[in-house]
Amino acid sequence: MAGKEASKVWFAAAGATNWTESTVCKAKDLFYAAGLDKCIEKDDSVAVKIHCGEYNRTACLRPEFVTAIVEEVKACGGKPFVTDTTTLTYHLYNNRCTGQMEQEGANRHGLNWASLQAPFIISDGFYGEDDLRVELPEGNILKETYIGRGIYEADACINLAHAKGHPITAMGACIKNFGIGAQSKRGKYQTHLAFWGDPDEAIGYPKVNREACQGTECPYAKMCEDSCPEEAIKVEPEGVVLDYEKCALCYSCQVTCMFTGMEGIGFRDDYFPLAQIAMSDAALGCIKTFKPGKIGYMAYAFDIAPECDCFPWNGNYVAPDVGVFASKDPVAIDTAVADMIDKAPIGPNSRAEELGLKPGEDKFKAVNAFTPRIQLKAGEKIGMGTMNYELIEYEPELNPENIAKWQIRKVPMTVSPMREAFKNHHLGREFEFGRHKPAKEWAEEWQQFDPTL
Amino acid sequence: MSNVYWIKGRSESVSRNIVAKIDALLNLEEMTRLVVPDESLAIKINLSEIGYNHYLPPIIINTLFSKTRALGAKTLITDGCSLFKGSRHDGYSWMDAALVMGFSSGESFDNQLMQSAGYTNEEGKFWPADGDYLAGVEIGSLLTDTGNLIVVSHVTAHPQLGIAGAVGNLGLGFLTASGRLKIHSCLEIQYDKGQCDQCGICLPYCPTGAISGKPGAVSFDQRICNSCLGCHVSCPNGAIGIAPEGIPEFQNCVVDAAHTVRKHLRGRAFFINFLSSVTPQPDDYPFSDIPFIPDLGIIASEDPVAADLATYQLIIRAPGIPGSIAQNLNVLEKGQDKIEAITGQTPTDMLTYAQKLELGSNVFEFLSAP
Repeated sequence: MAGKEASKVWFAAAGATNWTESTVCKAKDLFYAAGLDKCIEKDDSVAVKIHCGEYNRTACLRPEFVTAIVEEVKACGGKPFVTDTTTLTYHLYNNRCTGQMEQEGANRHGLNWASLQAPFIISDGFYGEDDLRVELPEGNILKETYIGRGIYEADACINLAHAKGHPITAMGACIKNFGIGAQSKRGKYQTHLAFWGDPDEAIGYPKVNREACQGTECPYAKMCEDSCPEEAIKVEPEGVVLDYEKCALCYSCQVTCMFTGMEGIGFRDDYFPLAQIAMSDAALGCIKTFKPGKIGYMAYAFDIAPECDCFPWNGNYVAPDVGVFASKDPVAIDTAVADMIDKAPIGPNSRAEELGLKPGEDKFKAVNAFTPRIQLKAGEKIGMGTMNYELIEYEPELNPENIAKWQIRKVPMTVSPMREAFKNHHLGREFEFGRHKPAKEWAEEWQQFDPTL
Repeated sequence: MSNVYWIKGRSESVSRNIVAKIDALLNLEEMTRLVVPDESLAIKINLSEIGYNHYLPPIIINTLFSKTRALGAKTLITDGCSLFKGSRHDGYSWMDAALVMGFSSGESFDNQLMQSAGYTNEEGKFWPADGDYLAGVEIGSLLTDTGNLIVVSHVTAHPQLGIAGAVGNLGLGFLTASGRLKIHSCLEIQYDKGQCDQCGICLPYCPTGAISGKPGAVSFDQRICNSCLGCHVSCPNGAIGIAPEGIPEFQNCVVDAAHTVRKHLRGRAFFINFLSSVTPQPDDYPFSDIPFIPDLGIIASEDPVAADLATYQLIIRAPGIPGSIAQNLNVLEKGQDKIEAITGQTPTDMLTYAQKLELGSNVFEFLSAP
């Protein structure tokens, strides 16, 4: 599919001044403009893949953004389920490691049947063991990966990404939504370039920084030991000791150390770019579980935090809300997302402002050390799509049909039922309204209440 | 000797209503050991097929959920999908069916209504079995790996097991689709063309295409039948039977599976059998006849074998309900074995085998819950 021809990416800018420009309405318009409705046939089981967001984080996809698309999947005759996968342990207070934890967090974010009108399902099962293997002979790094079975077995998919930064992969949008997000636990071990087979081949191993690690003096020493689900960590006075025989590479110690602001356990210097490349391989693994033409991609570049939705907090946004994107090409849409975020102004009080960035500069490269274009290039190389895109800017026309189009009631509620209701019973006509003085005596007095005058 | 608690069916006042009865269960010492703050607690229920309308009312499950939550446990509610293509065959329709039954994942259960073998009904592991019949069986991961378990069984007659109770719930309800297919492979479908009126009701229930054609031209192909029993439970004419020779082995395989499940549970388990709305069909039938005995209340025990034996004895001791199948079969009197009359089976042999495997004991003491 990666050809010289540009892939189309539809884009609607954030901001609204009337009904038709609501983000939800524009997202629904883009869904059809980009032909995503064509991915769905009647009775298809449709995975709406989102990132459900870590506990205590608020910069994740709002349920309404998701429900808007669920409604259109249903309108196309599909049977949607909204889905995410379990994670590795990541850090000692991660809350998405089992289905139970992830459902708790999803519910806190409002991602449940009551708001989505579709089930919220963990695609790789309760413990992340429900997966199927996909071969990747064309991969840059990975030879195979494992996809959550719920997604694997679905007939069609809407990859509904939240575009934001990521400390390891620089940016998280559609490619990451598949490349990490659709991978089962086993798939995540793969993608994270973990100890899988020969330990010497593990690129993502926890690298102990002898100078920086304070050993038992570190106020977080107990948290450091607790962070390991394999009990492979012992904190000694001279520093942390890792039993690499036991380590399975889940990021837990590295992320726990990073989250506490310490620098004792980190990554190999070249790990981050390699992780991006492996992630693109894994994303292709997910795509291969669908027949051609059965995946639609959408990205909401809103609440553009510098870090991923897997963080249990969010920093100030590196750019103001950019808008919503839709395409059939994962590489093209992510390239457009990265370009448009770079083009956007600098978010006030954000890390991007702290670094003195100017609009047009590579925001995520500055904030997260590497450019997100590594994953795009890697995706292009394995035939996942093209970085060459044609941006089609969409602006809804203000007219009566467009205003009515995405309303919950097609007949204006004033026409029905309120006219009938008011005929039967009208509060405004059944009671006297009392005032202290006649209007001409107080109508000018409002100025006394305005302290700016 | 095992303790079996019996909370009788009658309620004379608000202090003995269903909520109070669930309080009495939660006050049992056995329950206080498994409803533990901050520990996971899975409540395994029988989500019934749409059309089966004698299932346990949601208030029972909702109350167990909210009260164990209030005690600090991390409770979730779970069951698996069905083998046949009814209203609970895949993850999506299972959720839809739950909603129709009044179990709303988001509104009643904080999103904690989950499929025990995943959305695909295949999330599970193969565990070796110790018994005489099965080499091993696939069990839903949620059930083996979550902390503690309350197994809520709606007791009914069961055409192959005699009664649907704790042992049947463990030995079938805990398995993935692959696991269940292993056990079902003992059952051979017998299609009686003479009895078949070609109505085609069974057609949509078949997941493999063994039943095919259209109304007026229904055919059955034994070679691709996976014995899910969808045609058997839906046939209104009794044209689709089960070879009787396979049933004793089926029962023993269920016991082997139940024993394997019990052995590999990570935490404690407690079994609650609800003897209310005891119908001639179990919950996975797409219809239900009226109950054939009065509401006998709740049997609860840590021992699934003792719980089921006590359940069986109580059913025999109960009077039959006039106008029910018990009257058709002339087993209205106390002491007559209604289960054997209705199903042609008794649970006695399988419970004896279960005792031999030390899944539980047939010696028990009847206690009333405080």
